[in-house]
Amino acid sequence: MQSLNPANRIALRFLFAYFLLFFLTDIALPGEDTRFRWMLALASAGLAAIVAVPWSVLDRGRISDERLRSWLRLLLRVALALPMIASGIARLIPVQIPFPGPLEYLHRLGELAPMELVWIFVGSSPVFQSFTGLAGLTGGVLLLTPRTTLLGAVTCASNLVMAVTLSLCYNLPFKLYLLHLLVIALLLIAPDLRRLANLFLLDRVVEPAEMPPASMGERVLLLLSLGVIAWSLVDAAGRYGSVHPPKPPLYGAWNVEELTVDGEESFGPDQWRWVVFQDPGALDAQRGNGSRKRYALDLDSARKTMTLDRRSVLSFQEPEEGVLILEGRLDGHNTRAKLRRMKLSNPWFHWILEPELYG
Amino acid sequence: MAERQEEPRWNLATRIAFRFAFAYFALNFIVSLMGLLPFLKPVLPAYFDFWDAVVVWAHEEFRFRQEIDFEGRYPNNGIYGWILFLCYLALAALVTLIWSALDRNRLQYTRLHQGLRLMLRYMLALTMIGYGVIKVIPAQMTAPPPLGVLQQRVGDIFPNHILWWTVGASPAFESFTGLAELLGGVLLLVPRTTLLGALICAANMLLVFVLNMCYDVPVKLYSLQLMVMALVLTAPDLRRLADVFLFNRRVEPVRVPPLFARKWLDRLPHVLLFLYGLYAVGRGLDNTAERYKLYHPPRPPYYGIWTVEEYAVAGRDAPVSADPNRWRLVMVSAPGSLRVELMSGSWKTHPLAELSIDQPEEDVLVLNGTMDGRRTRVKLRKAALIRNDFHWIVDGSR
Repeated sequence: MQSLNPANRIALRFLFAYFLLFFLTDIALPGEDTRFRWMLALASAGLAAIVAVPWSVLDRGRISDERLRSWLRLLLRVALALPMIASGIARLIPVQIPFPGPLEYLHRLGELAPMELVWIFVGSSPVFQSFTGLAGLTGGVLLLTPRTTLLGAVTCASNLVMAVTLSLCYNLPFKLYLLHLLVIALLLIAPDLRRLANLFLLDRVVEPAEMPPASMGERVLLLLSLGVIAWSLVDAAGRYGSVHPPKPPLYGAWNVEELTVDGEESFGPDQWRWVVFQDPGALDAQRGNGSRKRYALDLDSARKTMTLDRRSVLSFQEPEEGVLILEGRLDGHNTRAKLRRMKLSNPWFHWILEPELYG
Repeated sequence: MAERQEEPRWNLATRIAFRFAFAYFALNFIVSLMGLLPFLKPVLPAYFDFWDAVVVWAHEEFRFRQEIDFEGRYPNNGIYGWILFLCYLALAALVTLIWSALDRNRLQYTRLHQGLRLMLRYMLALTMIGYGVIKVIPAQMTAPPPLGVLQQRVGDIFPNHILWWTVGASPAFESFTGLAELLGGVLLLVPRTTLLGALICAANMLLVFVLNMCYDVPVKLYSLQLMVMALVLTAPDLRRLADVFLFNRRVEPVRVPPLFARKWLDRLPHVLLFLYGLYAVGRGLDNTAERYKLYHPPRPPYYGIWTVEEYAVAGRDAPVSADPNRWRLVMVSAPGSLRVELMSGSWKTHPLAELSIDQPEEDVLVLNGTMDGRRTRVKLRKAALIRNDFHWIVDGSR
């Protein structure tokens, strides 16, 4: 390997110091892009710069540039692989983004912050969340051996380009963090750029890349990632139950289509407009005026009755899938309500498009 | 690049797979070719009538329960599209059978393979360019979503529309996805960058196919077919890719055998594809710019959906539940008036002229005036999804 010029020597040491600090602070204090995290990143950059210059000047020959370079590469692989694997498993299982409960279905689309919309969107399909987890996990795992590091870095980079773009476009609070990971992936690709250009753009001979000899560091990386995989699996399995609680009967958000109180059709501001069965033992009703009331629910599936707040007994029947009819005395009035399940609460997969379905 | 070399023998499975792929994609190519060449256009209706008749016959013969909807033809994966797909598969299988029987002694299809690659590059590139361009200028999903959509409840929106409007909520993100598709398509126009283009298209279409499956978007089969096209284009280079990315071996450049002996004739289809692709980009950008203008007419001042932050009558705050006439939501879609949703759930129109309007911040309006004979002050904030709310730093107070 040819010796590096002074600028490159400083850059190498700066990158090593900076990403070592990034990795350590991220393990110690994971979280959103708070002011504190930005200050931390700036302080790390400052510290790395202060360290890099004298280190380059004083340490001529003790640690060869070549060795430091392979250490940097190993550090970058650790710093990228571990979070990709951990978050990949958390989405694969999938416990990172919770399924939006039907109570959230009552929000108007416009009233959601962009990030809330993305969360509802991804959360609505656990299968899609698993797919994104699998993509991230694949990238992370490929980083674990020197030979597949390039493929892993390219896979991670394409995942992260998407993640960074999402965070910028929907104001997700992980911009700084994701940008760091993307830069790491690009730094890992950088030494192979010429080979990639030869393969994909210039149609020239692609020579094999130099592979580092097996080292202690590789084994440490593998061991660390096995630990992260085990921990992530245990953690995700532990949280699965609370993120995907069992769904009570009649689960979903329902529109009140018809309501008769004491024999008269009634659609006043104090009447029910939406009814939600989400948490076991509770019925949430949203009134016309926007206020919400939670009733204690005692549901008897065999006798088709529900008791609200231990006082009002309503009978219920489902004449067709997605339609519910409640009848009985509610708040001292004879009440009959026809509910229709909201679209997003219905099962939704169709191989064949039914023309009337999506209008 | 166009050096002669020993033509390798293909094994039996490859030869049969090739015949099938050629037959199947040629059936698809015929339709796009007819749309492309003006002198074939008169034949088009008769050709469609023929396949309509085949589909109707198959529909009756195999007793499909769902009625045929001729509106939902091919890409929409209605029952018509599915039956047509199955008919194409059956016909391609039949062709493969006869072809394999008649042409047993043939050991490779080097030239025909070049032809298949040209067909696939044409079909895939043009589709990717079409879908890319209409998103680069964000006009596929109306961005931002129309007010009628913004005031719907999340639960009242179909899953495929949740996907649609999530993308539409950010014009920048829509452009980004369009750029990814356009990049893949344009790289397919040049022989040398076809592999990179096919990989980018495959990655794009994998994501689109998974999204279509997960959110019930009714073009599942079509997106899968586009992904398969990209993979077929990638297939001859799989060994070279594995050598670079998995085995770290030396990789030689590709030697493409010429399609025609004469050099200019050999180049011609590639040049035509390249020029037509560039034309398609230009025409697409032009059409999309028109469409964008149509979706973004000049808006009246204060256009948007506004949520009510404060509502005070005669200087006193009105509690949320007590007053059915309290404002809940305000929509400005036409100049000069507000559409106001009241707590009671009913809507009324309020002329703007009777109010004094103050805009202390871009996303905040303060209205003062007499409503229903009472002095009223309303503070509005633009709905969260269309608010300009970008933050590099997460602020604990928000």
